[in-house]
Amino acid sequence: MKMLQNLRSLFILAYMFSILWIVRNLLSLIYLFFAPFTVLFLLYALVGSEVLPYALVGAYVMTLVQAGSAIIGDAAWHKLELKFQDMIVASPVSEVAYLLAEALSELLYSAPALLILSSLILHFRPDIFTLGNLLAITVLVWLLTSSLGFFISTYIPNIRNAWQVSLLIGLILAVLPPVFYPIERIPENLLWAAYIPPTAHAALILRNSIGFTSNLDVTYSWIILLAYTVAFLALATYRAQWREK
Amino acid sequence: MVETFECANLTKIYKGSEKRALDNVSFKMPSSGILTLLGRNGAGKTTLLRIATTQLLPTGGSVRVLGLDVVSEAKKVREHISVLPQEGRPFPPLTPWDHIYYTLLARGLSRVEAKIRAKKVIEDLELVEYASIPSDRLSGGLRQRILLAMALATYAELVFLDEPTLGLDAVNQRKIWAMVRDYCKRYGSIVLTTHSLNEAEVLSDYIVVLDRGRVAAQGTVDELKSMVPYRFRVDVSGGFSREELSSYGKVVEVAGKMRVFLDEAAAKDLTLDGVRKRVKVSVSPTTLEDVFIDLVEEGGQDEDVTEP
Repeated sequence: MKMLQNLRSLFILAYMFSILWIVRNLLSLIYLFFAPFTVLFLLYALVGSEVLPYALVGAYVMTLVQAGSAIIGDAAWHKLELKFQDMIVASPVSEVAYLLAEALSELLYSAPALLILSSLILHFRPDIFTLGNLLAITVLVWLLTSSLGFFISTYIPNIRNAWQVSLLIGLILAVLPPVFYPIERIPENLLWAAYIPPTAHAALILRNSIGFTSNLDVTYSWIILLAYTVAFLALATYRAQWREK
Repeated sequence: MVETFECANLTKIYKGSEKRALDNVSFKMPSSGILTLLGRNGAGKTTLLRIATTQLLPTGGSVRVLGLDVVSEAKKVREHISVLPQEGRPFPPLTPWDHIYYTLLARGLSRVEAKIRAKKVIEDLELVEYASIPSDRLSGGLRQRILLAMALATYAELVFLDEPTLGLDAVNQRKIWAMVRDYCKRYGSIVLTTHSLNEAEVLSDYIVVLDRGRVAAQGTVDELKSMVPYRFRVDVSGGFSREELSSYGKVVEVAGKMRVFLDEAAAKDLTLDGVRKRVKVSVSPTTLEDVFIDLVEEGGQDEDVTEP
């Protein structure tokens, strides 16, 4: 019963933070929708069509990272500026329901871009295996980046820092690592560093599922991605205990 | 009998600070009604409220809300309370209806019940004509009323209001006072913080005065007023030297005028002497403001011990 109530609270808050907001203010959707396609266009214009599979996978992972890191700004804004989190703490809504509502709302903002990008990726290999990989990667990257974002947001002292850190996380997780490009481009002595970001593994798995294999067995990538997700979820849940010291 | 709200030896020291934001604070809300926390900036009112609403851990002591410990029974406490935070803001594009209705749904109310309550509170707070207008197009007073409506529509047994009339004009303040009083009659008790001595005097059943994290005084308005030895105050514009006035009672300077706190007999004497000297004098009973200033003026400057 309590679980059902928490699920209901989660969906209602996510609806309030995203759908209702988009309905009342369509402008809030535009950046998140166009950002991945501008990167796609840029890479296509610079390199040509052969880069398209990498660019598509990169844009997909980048959109997921953006959805996750946006929570830093939004959660900090809800807490520090609007004081909405204070109202929710003093209510029967559970901390995990609130955390997931914040995360789900960010995913809903990114949903239009993700739908288009996923259908383009599926165009390369339209089978159940690719679809399954896409869904699993979406859930894992969304959960891990949202958890990381929420965890960071609880340490942010003011809202300007929140936006800045959000952008920084986007760069660290989606631009620098081999998300838009093959991992083999990294010099051999730096390869260890390229394998650290979880997003590198997400991109590797997705590229592998559409036929662009690498030297690393994707099983390792799945394990690493899963381990990151569990670790970040645990951190976020710990910090989402509402109570400040 | 279960106390509505009770603090025992409550202490809070923020991480990285040596100052005590709350220092051994103890009081009991004697019955249901309205308890007001009064104090200067940084006196510890908001810190106390945040601990009571399960947002902040105390360093020592305990707080019980409706008989439940806010640390070990936080989840149970949360089912019975709601809060209006200090300087909160509504979501810019969402309407008053969106805020009230959806937060009630999130708290677990059915759609039917949430609709009934949202409609009622919107009528009570005179928000009907603004119910479907995005909050960023509404005035500051209306936005504050949205947040208050969100807290009051919960019908929680204990509602915490952190400066509910901050930034509101006198007319809106009075509307909110009426609403708060009505809430107490129908649904539950209220703990509020305010800087407005007038508000505290009008609304409070019980007052706790905090000064630099400690309880400086507590009691009903009448009990607090009886704590100062002077029942009257006389404002005098010129005609008397400070030395002359001090023979009648305690003299303080307020905005260039002399204010004398004195007993009834001395008030009569000073008034007559003032009339004889053709000096403007005005006599009134001491107010809660006079008591408050008398209690906390020794403290000097504000001590803003807040979160680092």
